[in-house]
Amino acid sequence: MRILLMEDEVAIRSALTRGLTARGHQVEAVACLADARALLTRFTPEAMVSDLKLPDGYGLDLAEELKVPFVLMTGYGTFDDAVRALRLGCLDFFTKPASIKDICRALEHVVTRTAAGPQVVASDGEVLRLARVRGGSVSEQILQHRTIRWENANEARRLFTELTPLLPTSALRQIAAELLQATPNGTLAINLLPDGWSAWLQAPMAWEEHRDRVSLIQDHARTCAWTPTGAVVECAHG
Amino acid sequence: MDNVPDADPVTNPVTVVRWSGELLFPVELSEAAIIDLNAVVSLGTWIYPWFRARPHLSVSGGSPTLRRQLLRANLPIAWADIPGGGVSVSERAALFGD
Repeated sequence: MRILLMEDEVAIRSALTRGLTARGHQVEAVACLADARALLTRFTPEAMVSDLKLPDGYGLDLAEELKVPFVLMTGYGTFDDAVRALRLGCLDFFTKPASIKDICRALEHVVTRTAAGPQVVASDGEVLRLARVRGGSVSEQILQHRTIRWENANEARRLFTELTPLLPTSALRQIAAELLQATPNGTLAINLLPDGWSAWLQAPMAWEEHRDRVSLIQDHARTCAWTPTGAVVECAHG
Repeated sequence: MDNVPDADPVTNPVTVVRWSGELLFPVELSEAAIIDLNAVVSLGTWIYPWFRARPHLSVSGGSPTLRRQLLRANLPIAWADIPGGGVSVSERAALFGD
């Protein structure tokens, strides 16, 4: 998971960076809000771990802007701080020194919250229905889908217009357009559900040559996987 | 797409061109000293080389999402509408003799 760590005490910042990195997280650590805002031009965190009070403001201020799950640490938190943190989606609120184990346990909730349960697709004539297990119950949704194949850029552009019923937002249209232009020929499958959207690009890819494209898609997506044989991109919407 | 330069020698000595819509695939775009992005919904990455080849251009307007996208791409863009954050119309005229 991509984690933004904001902590002005060097020793704590260093220890948390090491601890979170050792548990497989990608951590970018900064000492203040200004550094965090500069970092955010090139880093999109999925979660944030922050000191409540920083030299140039409050960790809560950035949490409000980022709208990602976060964990707060404080040496002297007030009741009002805790209430505001909870309202903003704070996963947990620790008094320093917070243990790396407790922080990781709180971050696990992010993984649990976004992880998909078992799911199955059923065909009902022309309609596909998706049954998913969420929180102990089964939800059923109509699954719209389309798979296109293109051999050149002109064909990709023409097929893009045929995909528009499955691209209800400008962000999704942008992702699809970028995937279609990533390779001169390939296959793109798109799934649309009332609460989510996913795309699967199948083509030989050298993604290191598409840094701008990857960065832009990641900014819009919930999860992405980039492989030498293509990519899978998933977004929440609606 | 309204893509016509909008120049008024009295009130607006610098040529401005207004782009609009979802510019997701390569299209012919008019060029001016200032690109007005207020009517642009989204821009594809195909435009990045276009901006990198024209480091003298300024940009104005655009949604926060669009501005964040262009900032993150590290494009050589001066923001014409941010006080102190870019090159003003008069500064540009003085520097480039527009």
